[in-house]
Amino acid sequence: MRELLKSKARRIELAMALLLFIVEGMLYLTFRSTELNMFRLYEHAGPWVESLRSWGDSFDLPEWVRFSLPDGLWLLSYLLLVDAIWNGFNKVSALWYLIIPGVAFGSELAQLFWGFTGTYDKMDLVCYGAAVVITLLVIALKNFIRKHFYYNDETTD
Amino acid sequence: MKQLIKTLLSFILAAVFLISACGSIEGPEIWIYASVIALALVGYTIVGFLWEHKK
Repeated sequence: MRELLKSKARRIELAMALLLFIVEGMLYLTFRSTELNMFRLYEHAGPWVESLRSWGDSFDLPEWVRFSLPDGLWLLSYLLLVDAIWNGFNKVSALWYLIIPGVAFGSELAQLFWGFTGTYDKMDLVCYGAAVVITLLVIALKNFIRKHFYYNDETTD
Repeated sequence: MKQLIKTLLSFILAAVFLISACGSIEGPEIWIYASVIALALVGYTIVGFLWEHKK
């Protein structure tokens, strides 16, 4: 774990990923239906969830921000965390990079074709796609910095 | 970083994100799909360890 935090790039990726995960969670708690499974847990969390939701009522956010952006942030958060752990795509790390995007895209397509639980929304697919593209850009940026500047990172672990 | 630690961290991470995905959907049947994926992940992790160990 200490080794994981040694590299600056990894620390930035971890911090970004955790921030995105928290923002995504807050968007769900504030703006989504209380019929979702997560609200069974928050029934016991005290009045702060209710206060958060009342505060959220004063905002008129576009639908895609309430319904699709959290999903994209969730996927981006996962991909950044996996990249912080593996530091690059290879034969061994491939499964971990692909498993959650596979579940995300797969469940969305399953909603469209087989009536899987949830509601199909093409904006969800756009946000998932954006998360994948941003991750690829982050990986490319890390490689560029590593190649062109002095950069003391663990490239071979 | 050791392969074993990376794999374990990745496994925990994937499990946490699968559970959080279940929380963002209505209805209990999603847990069935999540359990199947989790079991597949456990299987893959064990087979991966054994395969690496064999080499």
